[in-house]
Amino acid sequence: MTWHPLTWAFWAAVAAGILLYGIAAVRAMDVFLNWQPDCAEAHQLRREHGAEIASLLADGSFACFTAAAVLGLMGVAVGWHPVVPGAMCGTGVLQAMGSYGRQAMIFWGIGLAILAAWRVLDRLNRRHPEWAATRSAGRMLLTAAPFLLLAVYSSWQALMHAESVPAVSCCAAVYDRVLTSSGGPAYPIRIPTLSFWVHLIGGMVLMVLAIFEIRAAGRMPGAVTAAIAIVWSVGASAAVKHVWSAYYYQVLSHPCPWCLFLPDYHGAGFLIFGCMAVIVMKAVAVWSADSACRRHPQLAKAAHRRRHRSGWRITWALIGFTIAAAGPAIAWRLSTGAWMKDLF
Amino acid sequence: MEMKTGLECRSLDFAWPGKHKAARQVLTDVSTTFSPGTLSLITGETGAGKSTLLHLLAGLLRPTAGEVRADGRAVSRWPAYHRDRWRRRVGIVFQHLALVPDITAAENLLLALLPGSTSWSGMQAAIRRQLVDADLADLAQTPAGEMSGGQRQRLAVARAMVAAPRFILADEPTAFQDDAHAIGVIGQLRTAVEAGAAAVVCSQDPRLKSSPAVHQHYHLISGRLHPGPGHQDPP
Repeated sequence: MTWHPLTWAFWAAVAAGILLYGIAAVRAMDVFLNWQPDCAEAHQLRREHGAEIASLLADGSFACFTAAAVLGLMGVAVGWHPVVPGAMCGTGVLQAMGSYGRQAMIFWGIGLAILAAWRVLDRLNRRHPEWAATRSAGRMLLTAAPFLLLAVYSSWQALMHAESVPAVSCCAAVYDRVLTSSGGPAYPIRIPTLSFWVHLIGGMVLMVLAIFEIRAAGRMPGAVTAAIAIVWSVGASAAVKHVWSAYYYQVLSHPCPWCLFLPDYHGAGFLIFGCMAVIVMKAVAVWSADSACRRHPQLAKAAHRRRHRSGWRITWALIGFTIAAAGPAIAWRLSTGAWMKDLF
Repeated sequence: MEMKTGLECRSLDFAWPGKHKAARQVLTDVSTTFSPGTLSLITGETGAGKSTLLHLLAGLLRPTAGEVRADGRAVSRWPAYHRDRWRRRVGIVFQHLALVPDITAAENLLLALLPGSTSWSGMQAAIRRQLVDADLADLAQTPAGEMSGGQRQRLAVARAMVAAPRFILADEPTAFQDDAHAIGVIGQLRTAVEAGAAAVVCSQDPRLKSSPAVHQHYHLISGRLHPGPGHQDPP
């Protein structure tokens, strides 16, 4: 795996991201600790120049880290399984990576969500000539640091672990999960049913909130939208795995989200999970714009525009997710007259 | 704090970058106000920092300390994107003119109008008027690179004026002009000032020094700005 081109591309993007982020973070630290907007002394003017450069560098680092995360995801989903003995999809690759693989994915997700929130704040700040939210943006940028470091560390450990692991068994991992999640005493409510309802209700609430953002941005607290999107994404991931994927695979018991990324299923996983990522990121953008607007009223107009745009993107991503996830199930129902899984 | 209209320098310092003490101090503690409706002339020896001061006023350079305020807002501290937008309200005559040599005189003037929201007919009228004022009406279709030095300088002045800017910053605008055309350039500046613009001119030209059109005289010595002979308070 060490010599796989995706691994090299992943580390190249990570290295570029760390370099840019590191320089930006040093300047952001100076801004966070010493920002004095009412002073026009030489050190404050240097800091303002530094803040402008930090914003550009951090923008670049966000692009590099996003590219690294996408490359890592592609590696797990479709790139690395041929070089991991016994692996047939991402499940096998993650199995070979041990717990570090999942940790890396979680830390990348949190780190990128914080950087996405920083980017919204920074964009709003750039709309205002007098640096209204520069200190808040600096703090937000620095908040991402521990998660990004943990993401890089976990990624390194995961890839090293996968390098030396003996043969894995994808199917054993998948079917072990079927046995543990299908109604044993530890699971009084069945996970497929629970996840299905969480993502169905959550999706409808999200749609209403997105329409609110489009029609009357600023009326609802952004934190509510972000919290619901995060809960929805957890439910939706489980629902895709346990319910909707069956209609792609056309078998009842193969709860594997990673097979959806394979060419056999037209890489549907990229669309389904891509839409989910857009929804979560745009909900975080709504929260970030709302919080910026509360702290810096002079940014209100730009923040409302940003929330309005995020509302549209959440709506389109929800529609995309619904079509991609539930489309095959509806087609199945129309052609056979029955659902594959009875959840009601 | 009192808000002043026009261009205001507050404790402006500028040094060209260098390692520690190698940094070369050009301007020190420059504080003054260039009010709307006034034509200010800054004189000083070669290398005194006149052009640097104009570039600071135009937001093309960042001061190392202090600030430039335009109508009460600290534009020198704005991020580049906002300074670029603000600069649409500034007409600049560069010492080295900075015309585009391969396009015609009219097209050079058109470039200055494009960022604004003037209609096409409005642009044509403004260009025609400026070319007449600059005595370049016959050369509208001549590429700037084929003009003489004096004609190019008048074209640069016309380009600075064509968008009716609120602030006019001119570096040696009469240096290549004969007496008749120098009077013409001064007349153009006076007309703009009478329309409410704040104009700052850096020059060593005795014709400008002795011109009654100039309201404020300053002299730049050792990086400090002093009121010069014939200085009047802003109207």
